[in-house]
Amino acid sequence: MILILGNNHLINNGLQHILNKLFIPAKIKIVEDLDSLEDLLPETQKIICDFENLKKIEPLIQDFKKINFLIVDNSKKVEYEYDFLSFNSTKEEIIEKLENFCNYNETNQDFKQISEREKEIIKLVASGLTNKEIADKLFISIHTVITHRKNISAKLGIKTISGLTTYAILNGLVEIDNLK
Amino acid sequence: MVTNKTKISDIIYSNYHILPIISRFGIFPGFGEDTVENICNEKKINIDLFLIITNVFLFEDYIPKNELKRITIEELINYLKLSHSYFLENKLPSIENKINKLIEICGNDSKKIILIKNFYTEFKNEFIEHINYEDSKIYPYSLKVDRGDFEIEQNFQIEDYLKNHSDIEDKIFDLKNLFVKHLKIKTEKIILLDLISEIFDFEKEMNDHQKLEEKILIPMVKQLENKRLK
Repeated sequence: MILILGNNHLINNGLQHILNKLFIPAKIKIVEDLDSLEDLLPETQKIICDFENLKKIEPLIQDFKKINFLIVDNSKKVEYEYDFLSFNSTKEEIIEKLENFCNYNETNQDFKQISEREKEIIKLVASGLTNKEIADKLFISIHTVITHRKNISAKLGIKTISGLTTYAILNGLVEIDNLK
Repeated sequence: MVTNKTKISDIIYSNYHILPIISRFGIFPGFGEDTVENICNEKKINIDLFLIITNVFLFEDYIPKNELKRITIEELINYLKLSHSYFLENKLPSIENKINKLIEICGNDSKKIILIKNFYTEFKNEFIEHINYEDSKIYPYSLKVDRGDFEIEQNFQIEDYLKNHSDIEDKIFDLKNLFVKHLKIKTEKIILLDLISEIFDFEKEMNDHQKLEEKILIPMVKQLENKRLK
């Protein structure tokens, strides 16, 4: 998820509007009230904000490696190591900056094909195994199974077990006879 | 934002998918120059309810404030019940019809569609069960709370029933994606396009319906429950 964080309604909506046109494969959310931020942080990979808000939220961020920042501000001084976009940027600069910043190729799973390991997990989910049973069977932790399940859902756009089962049969991953 | 002075036709031009929503108020095309205020007065519709429903539909981040004080639980439930009938009598049969037709004309590919139909049927049964539960338990309970003639049941409070919502939401999301991303059939079938656009509409309407329940009905009932508990 990408958060647009700030008190300037015009800027926030302008940014959201531009991002929507770029077909970013992530949820984009405007946050104008910092109180609601904490609940959103675990799901957040990228934050766009100004210097003032950056200072305010820094104490809240536990792991800076997990979140990328883009600072959009009227001031000229770039005193942070983060990506920076000035209010005076041209249309081309804005689009390029936002495209690069939101480039999901490396970090986001949505773009990738389903992996062999993930296929294996889909098969097991479809044959009715629980996360715990899958973990035991593949000698991996239940936490890893859950991460795989999340990535699978994001890639396929399928969240429920019976949806995954339907997908699995549709793609020949399992035979109907093998289902519980 | 839709306001008293907004023309009905302008609402439609901004997003025609709202037509079925508006029709639940007994408002049908041939809108002329009618504004929200005109038509609500004429049809004796609570303007604030109309504003809440249309703005929830059109603007994802809309949160009603003052309008809430001027609608009753009963009015809201009357609207929600109309949505239920619309889902049951129009939407579900129409989607099912299209799936069936697709199966009929798809030859070798029909097996794939039958698979998705099974998934759809599972969703449908769950959805109908949920609607029945709301009609027979949640809405009557809410109306009782509204009238003040109720006892707080120890093992039931209005919040409890929200659990089901997310599963139903997930299933319609999956159904949409099975058709959009994962079903590959050989010949081009126009009916598939109709079906997909109908599922999109349905998902949107269903999610809005749940939003009305979660963000408006439940808080209204909870407030009265809390008053009673004090």
